[in-house]
Amino acid sequence: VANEDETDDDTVTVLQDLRGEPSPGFFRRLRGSIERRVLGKQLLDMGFRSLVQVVLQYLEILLKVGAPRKGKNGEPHE
Amino acid sequence: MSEVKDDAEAASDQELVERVKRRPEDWVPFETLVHRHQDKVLANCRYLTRSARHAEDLAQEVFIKAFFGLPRFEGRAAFRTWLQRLKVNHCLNFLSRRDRAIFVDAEDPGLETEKAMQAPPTAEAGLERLEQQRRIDKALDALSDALRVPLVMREVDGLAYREIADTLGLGISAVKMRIKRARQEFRERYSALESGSG
Repeated sequence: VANEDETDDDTVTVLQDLRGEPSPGFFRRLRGSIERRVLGKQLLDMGFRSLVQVVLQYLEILLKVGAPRKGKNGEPHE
Repeated sequence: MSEVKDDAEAASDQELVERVKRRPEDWVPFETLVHRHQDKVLANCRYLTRSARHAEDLAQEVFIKAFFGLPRFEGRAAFRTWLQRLKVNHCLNFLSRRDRAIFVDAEDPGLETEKAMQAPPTAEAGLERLEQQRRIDKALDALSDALRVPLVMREVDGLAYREIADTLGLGISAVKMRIKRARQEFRERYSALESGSG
């Protein structure tokens, strides 16, 4: 950094050593958050796939047997 | 288990990234990467946003983004550079959301030093370090976003002027000017605090 900059600026060099100190359990919490998100994604994915499967099955049935016909009062026609 | 950890610690960032990509269910490589970079990420989140209270949450979010972004990381830049971009963008988004919300957070320690950012004062040297940390915090936090953000990107992260300009959507000369003014202001405030008049 210093090569590209003013070299007489000693004060700001203290900034180059700035470090944060994470609280205990930082990685444990991070891992927990990631695992929850992974699980959420998997569930969402499973839910989506199940929904698609149900729709496909329904369409297959419709193609095979045709749409349910309605009677006079809206009940299925026998 | 400890051999696995030793092996991970000896590996380069790039090797660890490849291991995470190959087997994300093995946490050791990712944990090693986090341990290697967490201090800097946390400092950056703290000083870019001026929020000691949110720094750790922001750092966690940066690493979460990194974990899920790793499959798309092609390794054209160093992992450190890629992570720097992630955290800078994440902190800038936080700042922009906070500015839009316009609220005064009375509980935010603001100018006070967060416990999580300090080393325990176990000895005189520790106390002196703590005092210096407090002066840095005060001097930096007193700068406006327009000056503090490019200064932190430059001094804490060591980013090039071009990269800072691109990230902030400014010209290089504007960035240089802001950093120069920020350094000057920081130096004045820091020196005033050092001599006890701040």
